[in-house]
Amino acid sequence: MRCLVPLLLSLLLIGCIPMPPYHVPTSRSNVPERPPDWMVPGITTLADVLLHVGEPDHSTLDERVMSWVAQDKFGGGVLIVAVGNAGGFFGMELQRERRLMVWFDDHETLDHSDVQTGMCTPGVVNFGNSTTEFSVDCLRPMPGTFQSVE
Amino acid sequence: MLSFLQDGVTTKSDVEQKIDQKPTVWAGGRVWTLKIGKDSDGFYPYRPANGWAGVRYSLVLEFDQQDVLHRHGLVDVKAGP
Repeated sequence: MRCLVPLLLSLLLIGCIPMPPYHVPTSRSNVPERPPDWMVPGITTLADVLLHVGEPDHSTLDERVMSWVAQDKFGGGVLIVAVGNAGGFFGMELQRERRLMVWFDDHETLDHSDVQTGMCTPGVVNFGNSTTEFSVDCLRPMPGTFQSVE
Repeated sequence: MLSFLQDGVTTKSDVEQKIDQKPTVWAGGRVWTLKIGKDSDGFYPYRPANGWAGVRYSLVLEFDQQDVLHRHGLVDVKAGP
């Protein structure tokens, strides 16, 4: 307790920086909020889908399942603190991911599709020379073996 | 840069000669996708190391069995849903 009091007294909140919303630039924006009407199982082809939404972000090796992902940040903040003569910061953002997933049949024709949306709060903690990033998946992992399309 | 694309006319070889980017290939080679940026001088091929940073469009090319362009589209990936 004797040590805790001076420690708490020396804890100084230097500042709080709000972070504005933004679209994650490495992600795309053109992910629909629900499976679009032009996607018709048994009719729409793989080429039709790509011509509408472009190159996917992920695909299984056999191209049976593909996904398109948009990531947006909805703001957050950074707390800057000092303890004694050391300093650090803690930052956290609210992130939304929206993922269009499309399943194709043996004939490269649409089998079914789904749009999934998830929220998460990735962040970072820094104190002194130590920095730790933490994140949780906004969306549940994709089924099967996916590879990023680069 | 993209004005040469004509359905029924342009071949895979034409695309390879005029767009300096290795396409991502789908459907056994029948469909190609390329990443395209745009500035005040117009379109330019750009495939970043990570995702869509600096990219505005996904160029999608569907070829027929003779490797002639059948359909093509320029998808604005930064447009809203």
